[in-house]
Amino acid sequence: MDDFPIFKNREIVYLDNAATTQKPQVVIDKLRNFYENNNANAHRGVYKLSEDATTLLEEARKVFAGFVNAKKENIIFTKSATEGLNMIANSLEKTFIFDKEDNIVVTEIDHHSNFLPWQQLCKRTGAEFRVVKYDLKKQDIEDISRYVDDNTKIAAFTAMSNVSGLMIDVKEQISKIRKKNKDTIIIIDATQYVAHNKIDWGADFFVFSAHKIYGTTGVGIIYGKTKFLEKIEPFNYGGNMISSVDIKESTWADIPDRFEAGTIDAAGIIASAEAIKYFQKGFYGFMKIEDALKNYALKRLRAISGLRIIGHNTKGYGPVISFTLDKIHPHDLATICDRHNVCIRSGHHCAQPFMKKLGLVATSRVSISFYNTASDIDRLVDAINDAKKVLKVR
Amino acid sequence: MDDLYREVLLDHYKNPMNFGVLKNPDIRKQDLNPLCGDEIEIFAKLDAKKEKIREIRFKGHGCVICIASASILMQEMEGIELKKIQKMNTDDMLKLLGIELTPTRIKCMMLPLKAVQKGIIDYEAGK
Repeated sequence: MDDFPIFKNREIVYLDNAATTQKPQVVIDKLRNFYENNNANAHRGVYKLSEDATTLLEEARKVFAGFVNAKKENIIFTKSATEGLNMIANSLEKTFIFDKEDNIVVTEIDHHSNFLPWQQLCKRTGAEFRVVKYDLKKQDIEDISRYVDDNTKIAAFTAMSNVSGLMIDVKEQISKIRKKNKDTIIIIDATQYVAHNKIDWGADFFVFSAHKIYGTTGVGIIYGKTKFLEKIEPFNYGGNMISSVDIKESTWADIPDRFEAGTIDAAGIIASAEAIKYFQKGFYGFMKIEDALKNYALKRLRAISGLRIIGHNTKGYGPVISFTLDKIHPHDLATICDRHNVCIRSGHHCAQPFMKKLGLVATSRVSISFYNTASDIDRLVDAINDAKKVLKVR
Repeated sequence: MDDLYREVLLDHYKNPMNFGVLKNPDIRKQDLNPLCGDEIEIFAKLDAKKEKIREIRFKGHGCVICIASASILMQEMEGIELKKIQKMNTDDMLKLLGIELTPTRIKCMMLPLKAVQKGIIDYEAGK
């Protein structure tokens, strides 16, 4: 908690960590330090200052690569996970032929950012859009591999729901999918998952954003397997990504530079690498705290009459809890919680297909980080009880 | 006393005025708040000259602010000229409800008025 200056400056209970996390001092210091001492455009100048910026950027890439057990050249920086997924979809469409014989498999619980790019790709190409269903009884998604057949070009799914916290056994799913079709390109949205577990899947691509793991906003990470990165079309064309440009023909730089046209957020990337180091150092302790807090929150929330939690019927959930409260709209609950300086989320969480399946328009969502405490949960529960009083709900 | 959730607004929320549907309305329009998925649909009948709202109803679901806003607004609108409704803005609504709101919650309050205004635009265009 002491590592995060915002908690010294604002008297808040912050329980919207699934939306974005707060930043430790080391990240803020690194950002400032870069601008004060090393700022130049990386990969451009030959003067010392620019070389320093390049070195720092490439060191940061190594940190991210190490974090996800990858090689440096497989890590591409972009502005967000959403942009990453859109870029992958666009490049795959430009590279491979999709027609109505083909299909793409996604899930009903995916965030719009891993749903819409594939839905739209299917619309443009005529490929079949297959949506893996959420089983309301089991409160789990159906086996993804069952939807995969010889014509499945892509399977794209989340590793953890941003609505209910449900975690998918990605490793198992990948192995099952590969058994059915070894050529299916498997793309994982790791955005929610990355701050709560380790990535070791062997997926073809995955994405996440730095701001959800204590880094800065404006930094997204794409991991791509070499065999695909070597083959697919660049995402964007422009500066830094070329080998040579002629009037008629041009050739592209090596990977990953080929995919980083234009000036990227070097300062943010370098600062976010500090966040990764900070997270890695504390990992086992952090996960223990989050798990204990999740269980405590579940216990206290379940004791509130009229409160219904989505899922969390097994242990396979991260510390993200969505719930509804009888006769109280999530927006009203969030407003009253805010009066107690308790920040929670309300809405459809950019996952409308999932909400529709649940038969809901919106939920309240509490998402926990290791810097939260049991007293934060107590204050949340007090705020919920107050909301019932204010809104005269028994 | 709680300003935002004071008795009168809660009453409107729990027992909204003008709640329901109208058969053969001159104006019918549904609008959504994309932030939370809240949804309001309005049904209006105009006077003989087609200048004023004679009767108006709404249905839908939303938070206290949204439903209370719809309930209070619908009552106010009967007998009001379409031209006048088109000029209504956020400040008018805040005054009507007698509350202060943060920018995000303003969207909740504005949803019913937006639905009526969009409905009037469609009606004028289709004349």
